[in-house]
Amino acid sequence: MVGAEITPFHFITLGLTLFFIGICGIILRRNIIFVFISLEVATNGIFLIFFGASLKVGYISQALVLVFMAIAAVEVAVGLALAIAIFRTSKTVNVDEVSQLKG
Amino acid sequence: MNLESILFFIFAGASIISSVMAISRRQPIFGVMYLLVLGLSVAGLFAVKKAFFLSLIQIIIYVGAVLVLFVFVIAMINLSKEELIFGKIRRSRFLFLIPVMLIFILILSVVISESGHNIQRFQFFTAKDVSLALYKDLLFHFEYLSVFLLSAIVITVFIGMRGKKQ
Repeated sequence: MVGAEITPFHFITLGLTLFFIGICGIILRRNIIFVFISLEVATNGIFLIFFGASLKVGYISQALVLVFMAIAAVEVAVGLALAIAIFRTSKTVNVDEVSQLKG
Repeated sequence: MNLESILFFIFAGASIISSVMAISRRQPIFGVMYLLVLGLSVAGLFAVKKAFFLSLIQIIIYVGAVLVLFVFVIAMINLSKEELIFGKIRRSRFLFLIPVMLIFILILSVVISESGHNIQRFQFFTAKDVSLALYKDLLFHFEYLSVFLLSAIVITVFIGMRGKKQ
């Protein structure tokens, strides 16, 4: 693995590692801010996976990374607006306590 | 090991350590600060492979825009110390084994599929090449992204206004 040259394999392995660290955070944390921080970690892992693919398939994969950056920015904006709305209505940021929709 | 490998492993270690620290802090603001380190090290990883345009976009969007949004939201919510105590892990401590197993399976599949391909090399990733790919090959993505951003603005303003009325 520690070779003279950096291959797409290195980037994809690192991206997968970051992605699953982010998934661990989403599963384990209860604070809604930390859920979004973990989501950002996972998103950075996805960027690295697509960047590693671009070393093999060319520029189109890098342009896809740009598209995903815009999608991630949208997701954070809407998610944090929802976090503020939840905090205003139920005065908590614990995602386990927000269960008004449960039947 | 040449300079490229050394820089890659430095940035890779920094990104893994900072992401673990980001999801394990008690206070949200420290998590955001470690997320900043993660964004910068991912930008460094892009720059290692000479994708300077993507590296700069990463710094501008992530470190410049998204993290400022996080800091503002944390400042608005403004939790006291008693409310942060629930941040402790109360679930089963072995729940993390599921993603760890998944990552080993996926790395194994990458290792298997990696062997036996020759790698076509692209030396420089400039803004011109990335933009041409965006406008020629990914034109549909570019168009739906504009509608997507507009809908995000509408949704965010709508949610913010509703909360204010109540």
